[in-house]
Amino acid sequence: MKRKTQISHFLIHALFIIICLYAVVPMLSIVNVALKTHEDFLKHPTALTIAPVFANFVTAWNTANMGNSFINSVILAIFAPLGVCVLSTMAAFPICRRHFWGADFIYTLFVMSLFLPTTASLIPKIMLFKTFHLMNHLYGLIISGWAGIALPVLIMNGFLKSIPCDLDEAAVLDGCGYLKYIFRVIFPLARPAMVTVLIISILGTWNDFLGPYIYLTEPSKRPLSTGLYMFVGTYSTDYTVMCAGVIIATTPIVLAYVFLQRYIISGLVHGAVKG
Amino acid sequence: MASHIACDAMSLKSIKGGGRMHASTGKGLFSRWQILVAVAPGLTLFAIFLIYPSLANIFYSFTNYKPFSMYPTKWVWFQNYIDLFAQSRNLELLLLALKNTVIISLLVSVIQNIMAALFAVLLNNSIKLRNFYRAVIFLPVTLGAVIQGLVWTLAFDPYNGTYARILSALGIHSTYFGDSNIALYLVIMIIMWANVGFAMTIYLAGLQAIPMELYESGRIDGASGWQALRLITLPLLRASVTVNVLLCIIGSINMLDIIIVTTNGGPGFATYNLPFLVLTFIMNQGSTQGHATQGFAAAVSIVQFLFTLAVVLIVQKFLRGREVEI
Repeated sequence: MKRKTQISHFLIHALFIIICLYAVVPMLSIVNVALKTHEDFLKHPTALTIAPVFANFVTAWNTANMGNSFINSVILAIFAPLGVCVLSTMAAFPICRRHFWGADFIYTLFVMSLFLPTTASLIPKIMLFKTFHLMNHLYGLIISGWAGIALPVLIMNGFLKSIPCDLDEAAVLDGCGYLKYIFRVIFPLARPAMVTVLIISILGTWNDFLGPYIYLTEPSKRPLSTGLYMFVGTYSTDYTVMCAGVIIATTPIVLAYVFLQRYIISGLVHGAVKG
Repeated sequence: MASHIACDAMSLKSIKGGGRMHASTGKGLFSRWQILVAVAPGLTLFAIFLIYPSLANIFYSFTNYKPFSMYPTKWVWFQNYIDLFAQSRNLELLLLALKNTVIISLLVSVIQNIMAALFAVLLNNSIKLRNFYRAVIFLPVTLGAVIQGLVWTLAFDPYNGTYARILSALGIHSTYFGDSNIALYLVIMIIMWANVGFAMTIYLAGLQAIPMELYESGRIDGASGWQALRLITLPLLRASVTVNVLLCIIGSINMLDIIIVTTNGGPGFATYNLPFLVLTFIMNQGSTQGHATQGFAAAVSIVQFLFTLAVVLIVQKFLRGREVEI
């Protein structure tokens, strides 16, 4: 019996080692190439790099103007998620408590909007960006990002239900105004759900490709995602430099994932299942 | 200002008089304008950037709208839809895109879910390193479409890519993303690689919700490990299957960013799917397709939306009927 479990454990480990290799080897192979000099790459393109060289990273950082796109990405990934977090919590509380007429309808609308494909609202949205002069401005994408409160509201709604209504009543009797109540009482209480919303939103904004691809076409306004895409598309002569560029853009996410793994996984999955 | 005071007076009255009546919801306890102030900013932005564009898109699909053109926009009723289905060139493109969309969503939903469920069941056992395996399998989910796509296009670069080199050393030669026979399947592989960890985690959450007593009573009744899996685990996992399959279908029918990054629809039309077709009509209006107005592109996107909706409703009905309550 014991022998049997040992064999099955061995098989399971073998399977998962293969799966894990499938998951990370494409990335590692690119790291391997990015660390080679051009000559070394031409001679031994697939061999393991013994003496790593970091010149490719410098070249990629400079030619792709990555410092600039990095700053753009950071600006987008700070302001859009913060706005989403505040706006969705403010909206979720009245919706959750049915404090205004039509709250049920709004809730249904939020749920339905999750099924809408991006392409179904693209044309009027482009026109909207053009008429309000939001095209090629970071704040345009940030403001339109604030509109993405559907999923956050559903997540917050699920959480706010667990805050007892007696608390609302107590606050009123103590003479606490509605907005003050939301900011002073609900915000601190709802912190776990807000962390989930923030994580989903930050990852979504950082990784967003279509938004910048369509609304931020000017090179100086590109965040990392489209900047990298354009860099690899146009700079297709030096393969090692392209690999280095991809690695530079991947590093921040992988680092964040290594340190915040538990929050990121539970945040993403929790969000999707609630939706 | 006056209304503000009036509102405050009203809420005061409700506290004194019928306060307890509303105790369960708290409605009427707070001043109404403050409630509106709390909801308004989010809802306004939502209405401007989501509701309005979606409704306007339906409206556009019945017009020959062409932005910044000198021709006035006319209401053309169903002309765009007739053009789409009656003109052989458009219909050909639409059917091609539809075929690719169906292949992508079918293969991804089936294979990805089987893999994810298998991984989850195995990793739910107490084996060593299971948290490490989970973390590594989940890693690609966090990377975002550009990196997900570029990592594989670089690895399969026909001249320089490590994977392509190794395969050519083994005697397999191909241009990979440039080969119209396999480009679509490579894209499907990337989509699965990028999402399997996500589906696995949903299955793991579903597995952990199954009470241990069921397995214990199963063991007392003499059920083998395989029987426990078939008779207890799989039936009780069906709610997770529904969630996963629906997410998978919605995601893969509307898959756009990975396709742009890896193949950009090519080679030829080999990886055109419905959203990509809509995007080409939006971007190349009037250049390749002689008459393609924004109205026409809008009509195609409405067709895509209706297709998604129909598939989701059918699959949901089918799967929900098979769920088992604990």
